[in-house]
This record gives sequence, structure tokens and C-alpha cells, in this order.
Amino acid sequence: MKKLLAITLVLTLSTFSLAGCGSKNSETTDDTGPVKYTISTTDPKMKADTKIQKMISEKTGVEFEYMPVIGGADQAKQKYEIWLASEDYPDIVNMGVDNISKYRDGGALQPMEDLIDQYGPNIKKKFGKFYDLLRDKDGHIYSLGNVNLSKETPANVQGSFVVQYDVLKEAGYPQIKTLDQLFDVLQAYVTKHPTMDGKETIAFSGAGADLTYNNPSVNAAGLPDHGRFSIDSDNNVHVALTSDYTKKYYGFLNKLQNAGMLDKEIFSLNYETASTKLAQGRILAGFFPQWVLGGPESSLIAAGKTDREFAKFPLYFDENVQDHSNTVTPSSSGNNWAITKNAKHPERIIQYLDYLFTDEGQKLISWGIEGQHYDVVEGKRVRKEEVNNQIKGDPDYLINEGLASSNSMFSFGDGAKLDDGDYATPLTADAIAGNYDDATKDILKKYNKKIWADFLAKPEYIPAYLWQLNAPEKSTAIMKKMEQAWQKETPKMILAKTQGEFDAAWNSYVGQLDQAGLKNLEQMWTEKWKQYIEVYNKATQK
Amino acid sequence: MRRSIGDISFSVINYMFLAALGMITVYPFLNLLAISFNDSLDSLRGAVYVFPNEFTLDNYRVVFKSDSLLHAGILSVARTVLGTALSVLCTAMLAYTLSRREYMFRKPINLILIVSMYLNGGIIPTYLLIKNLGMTNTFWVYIIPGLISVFNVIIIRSYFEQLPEGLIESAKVEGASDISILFRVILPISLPVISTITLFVAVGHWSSWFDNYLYNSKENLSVLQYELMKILIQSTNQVSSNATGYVDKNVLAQTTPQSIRATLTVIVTMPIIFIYPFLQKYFIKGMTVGAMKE
Repeated sequence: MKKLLAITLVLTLSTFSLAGCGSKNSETTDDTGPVKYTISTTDPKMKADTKIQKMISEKTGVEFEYMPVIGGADQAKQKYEIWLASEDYPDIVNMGVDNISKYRDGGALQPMEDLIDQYGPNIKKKFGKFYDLLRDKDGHIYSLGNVNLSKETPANVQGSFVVQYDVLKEAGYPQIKTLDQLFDVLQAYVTKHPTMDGKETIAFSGAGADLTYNNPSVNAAGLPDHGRFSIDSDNNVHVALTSDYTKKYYGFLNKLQNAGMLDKEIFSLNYETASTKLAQGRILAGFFPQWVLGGPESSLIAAGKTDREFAKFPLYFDENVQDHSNTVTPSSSGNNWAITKNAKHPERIIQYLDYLFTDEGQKLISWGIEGQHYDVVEGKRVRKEEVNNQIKGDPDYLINEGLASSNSMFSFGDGAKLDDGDYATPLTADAIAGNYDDATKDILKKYNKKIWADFLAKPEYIPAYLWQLNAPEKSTAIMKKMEQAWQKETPKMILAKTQGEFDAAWNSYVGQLDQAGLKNLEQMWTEKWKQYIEVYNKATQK
Repeated sequence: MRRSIGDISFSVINYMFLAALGMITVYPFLNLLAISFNDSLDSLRGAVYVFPNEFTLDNYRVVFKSDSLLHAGILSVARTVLGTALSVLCTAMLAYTLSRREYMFRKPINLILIVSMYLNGGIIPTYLLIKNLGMTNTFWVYIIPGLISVFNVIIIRSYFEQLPEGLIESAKVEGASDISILFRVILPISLPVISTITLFVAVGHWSSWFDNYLYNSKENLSVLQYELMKILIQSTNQVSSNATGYVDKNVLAQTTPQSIRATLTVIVTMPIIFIYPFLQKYFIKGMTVGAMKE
């Protein structure tokens, strides 16, 4: 209550002070007078008084005060719930869709659609045909995220099947497209180098159940990443864990195992223990996304073992697989902004957001200030060299300058272009390629590519990822049950000595998952997905 | 005095066993200490045991870079000292009252206390209560709500109850009031249990951050653990932003979450380790006092 009072006080005072120098009866209509809003953030270091934020505040009059929500997802959720129960929430909450729907149900949010109609022409314009997707079932818009305007693959995206540079070098830089080709290359290398620095060479490894069994099999089948599911052309959702391609991938792991090439610890590795092995350079190949690989690769570079870095390819079961795994969705944000009942003058927030949706705003939040953070060279924006160096030397630089802030989530996306035809963010192919070390540049040259993203298939538009939708109510319990069977039974297949043993284990595994309620789960998700598709079609085909 | 071969071999095996046990207990901490002083990228490769491979102070530099740390540290010390003193005092007074058989409401109050151990209002009602009491965004929210812990009351009460009744009776005969009996007779002979509880409470205060997180959002009321928690989360966030490519590989080279975690553990544990030896003699005394009971 006290805080509310304080905010009201600040607001009235500021309007009064403005009224003093401006027209007299301007209580709410003043467009640029300073207002301060509180906003939640999950990043404890976020700063509200950065250079760039001040520039945006000058234009819009809106300033922020961050209220940190830290800890794991559970602790954050607790804080959100307490705020909701005590009505102590900040003016703007920046959180996941599930939490936002709780706030909506609790009546804590102010609908935005009328305000956007009045004050948000750029928001509407940029969302274009996707605008109606923002609407809730009741027709109101309760939260706003980014719109993904990128039509090309962002330059930092890369395949998750990785192969060590040295393996490729010894094999004479072959084009590797299929898992069997990878197997042959690895086998040749392991036979020649059974040990590395006195320790056993590990041909293939993984990190955690999903990255070992599920994601690679979906990826090798060329399917979009819907988590543990896939969706067919009739919009039916299928569980990936019992699919043909999963069986095929288990067969591949089994083949590695029987050849003695699979990591002996593969069933117990987690991200940390796998990172250690990767950083030692003992793992030749595997399925490791960038967020697992980042630390180990910098460690390898620091140790001068650049031939142990990894090439990142997409790989398939056979040459005929069509790759649909490189996907683009209308929105890439998992977190949205929602305006709570505590916010006075919500139109000011919409005006602020509308500014972020202009090209001028986009340049400020992603590129920074011209002359300070970037230059325009031959009509193209280029990040200043000294800025790049600062980023390398100081991990807090981006935050302190304001180049990383709560505004960043409204970026049009890496690879998107502004109306002037140039990129919206500094994350361009040139910038990424400029950050590679020499060994990486050499390898890429052998394959006639500039960046790892060049290996990927053409991006395809999909309405959403399945995991972006709210999970059906009972689905979590079923998935938990299936997960148990999955983690218990999968090793039996991978360790099978004969084809017969493998098949028997597979059949018993599929049986157990069926018993856990697989059909039921598929049905629930199919229903959910079809509902979404209906909304999507209605919204976009107007 | 001659010792038989059996005696000697028993001693040898005994000491070896104890030494091994000691090593097992000390090793995890030594390992963390080594990691905290080791280059973080080297730690990532594993193979750090008792001594750092590539000595560096970078991890500590990153942690101590935060300028709010000193202020938060002072607050943490303040809440630990003040909170522990008040909490032990109140707990002991309550425990003494409940240990007196002649106290009329002994049974109902005991019952209420024990019920509260198993049932509580949950986090949201608790928050609303604290808020309506006007304690959010104050320093006192660290001290007052946790003043009495039923578990500690029961431990002290049980200790008081087995003290010889005659002590109190004779003090009463001499004309002592209940207050002076507690402070001049009971507490001086209860140092073992008091020091145990003091340590419990102090460690609890020292390592607590969640009350800060829930009740106090102002930075000038942050305690050390909360600030350290923020640093840890920050370093984890950095890894994920590294994955998006905004931050390139060389940035991460400064530290890794694993190294930060080890460093924080060392920083947080040190004060407790330094205090422990001073309280330890009372623990041992407590054990010997127990041994002499009839």
C-alpha cells in the first residue's frame, strides 16, 4: 500500500511540476513528462540508468526501476504468486506465459488492445498479420512480446551434431551427411588413436537423457524441434519417444556401443561432467548444442588445443531425409511484458513500447548510439571495434551500456532487416565470422562456408513450437510416468548384444510407454495444437 | 609401560582409519578451495584436486567486483550477531518457563508450539501477515519473525528439565527471583546446550537469503547471501547469453559458474569455520557433562 502511495505521489508530483511549465489542465494527456515505472526482471544486474536507457527515456519520458526476481523457476514463481496475492506487483511484469495467465485470472492485468489501437500504430504495423495472435480467448490482449521479422537463419544458429576438427582433418575433410558416414570416419580415427593424453578416446558421447536419446533422433529425422513430440501434416501430435526414427537412432547408438565407440559413462553424464570431458578434448563427436559447447570450447582455445574444437553439422539417417528442422516462428520470446493494475497511465507504457517498435528504437536497443557503439560504413551499420573489445574484456559491458536490458527482448530478431534494408541487430554473419579463431576459419574454408549457420537447411515458417503452448493439465503426470520407463529401458536397447535382444527390448519399452498413457497424451496435445492452429489460421488469414 | 603388539597394531590401524576418515571429510572442502583459486577454464577440464593447477585470483576478483558487497556484508554480520543474541535469549526464556512444572499453561502452550511445527499458514499468508505488520522493507524482518524456533525451544527445555530440581529450589529459598535463577543459576551450567543452539541459529542467520528475497526489495537492505546469490545467477545467465552468441567465447574466459560457485562456498564458509573452534570446547564439555550423570 505504501509503495502504491509513493508511486501515486511521484506521479502526481511530476504531473504538477510539469503543469507548472506547461498547460494547466494536463493531468493525463501530457505525452513526454517523466514517469517512472517499476518492472520485474530475472537478471539481478539489470541497470535502469544506462546511457541508452537515458536516450530512450528522453524520447519517451518513461523511466524504469528494476525489481529483481531471482532464483530458480520455482523461487521466481513463488515471488510472482506472493506479489499477486498481496497486490504488491510492479507496474510491469516481465514473465513467462504460464505466469501471465495466472495474473490474468487473478484480475491483476490491464488489457492492452484499446491502448494499442490508440497509441501503438507501430506495434500494430510490425505485428501485421500476426497481431490477432496476441489476443487471448476473451479477445483482450494481456501481454506483449517480440515479433520475429527475421526471414533468414540467424547467424549464430548452428547444427548440434558436432565433430572434432582433427577427425575431419585426418579423414581429408569429407562431406558428412549421414550418421553412417560419421560412424566410418570416427571408427577410422579411433583405430588410429585409441588413446589421447594417456586416456581412452571417446568416439561419441552425450549429455543428459534428452540430448542423448531424444533431440538428436528428432534432428536426424529432419523434424522441427517440438521437444519430445512431432507433428504430422494433419496436425496430429505424436510422441517422438516411440517413433521409427527414435528406434533408428537407438540402433545407431547400439552400433556404436557394439563397436566399443560409445562413451562408457553415457547413461550417467550430465552437462557438467560432459563439459569436463569435452574440455579435455577426448570426445570426438556427439550431439551438443552451443549452450553446452561454449564453455568447453573456450577452455580448449585457452589451452591451445584448437584442433580439438568442434565442427557443427546437421546429420541425417540417410541421404533422403528432407530437413525441416530449421524453423522460424512468429514470436521467439518466452517472456512477455504485461501491464498490471498498479500502473498509472498505462498509455505511457504503450507509447514507450511503440517507440521500441520503430526503427529508431530498434537501432537504439540492439545497436546502441551511433558514433558511440556503431558506425555507418558504406550505408551499413558496423559495431565499433572498441565496443567489440570492451565486450570481450568485460562481461558486464553490455548491461552497463544498456545494450542488454529488458528492452532487448523486443528486438525484431537476429537476421531481421529494418526498413532501411540493413540488419536490425549486430549479430550478422560478418560479426560472427569475425569472432571465430583461425582454426575455425580454416575448417570453414575447406567446406566453402563462412559460418556454421550456412550448413543448415533453408528456414521454414511454422506457427509455433509445441512447447510454446500451455501444457494440457494432466499431461505432465503422464509424461513423468513415461519418462521413468524411457530412462530405465533405453539403456537396455543401447546395450543390446544382438538384433533380437534389441528388438525385444524395444517392444517391451513401447509397451511400457503405451501403458503409461501415451495415446491419451497424444490426444490431449493434438487437441491443444489443433485449437491453436485454428486460432492461428483465423488470425493470419484475415 | 610396555605395550603389546596387539596394542600397537590397534593404535596404528586406528590412527590410519581416523586419518583416512579425516581426509574424506576435509577433501571436498580442499577441492573447492583449490577450484576457487584455479583458472576457471582449467577447472573445466577437471583434474583439480587439492592444489590449484593455474593459480589465479580472478574468481575472487569477479565476486568482489560488486560494490554492494561490503554493505551487504555488514548487514549480514549485524543480523547474525543481533539475531542470534536475541533469538537465543528469547528461546532460553521460553524454554525455562516451559520447563517449570508449576507453570499453569505449560501443557496448552507446549501443544500450540508443537502443532506449529507441523502446520503453518504457507508462504503467501505468512507474507501477508508480515506485510500487514509493516515489516516488509525493514531490517527487523530478518530478526523478529524467526526469533523463536520450536525445535530449539524443545532442545533447551529438555536440557533444563534434567537439571537437578534442588538447584532451583535452593536458589528460591535464598530468595532469588525467576529471572535471576535463569540467568545466574541455570544458564551458567547450561553452556553446552546454549552454545549448540547459538551455533545453529547463527549459521541459519548467516546463510539465509530467502527472507531477503521475499520481504525486502530495496538494495540497501540486501544481505550478503542475497548479493552472492545474485552473482551466481548472473554468471549462469552469462552462459546462456553466451549461447545466443551476443557474448562471444572470450568473455566466458573470465569465469565459469562452477568456479564462481566454489568461490562463493569458500567465502561463505570461512566465517563459520573460524567461529567453530571457539564454540567447540563447549560441545566437548557438553559430552563430558552428559557422561557424569547418575
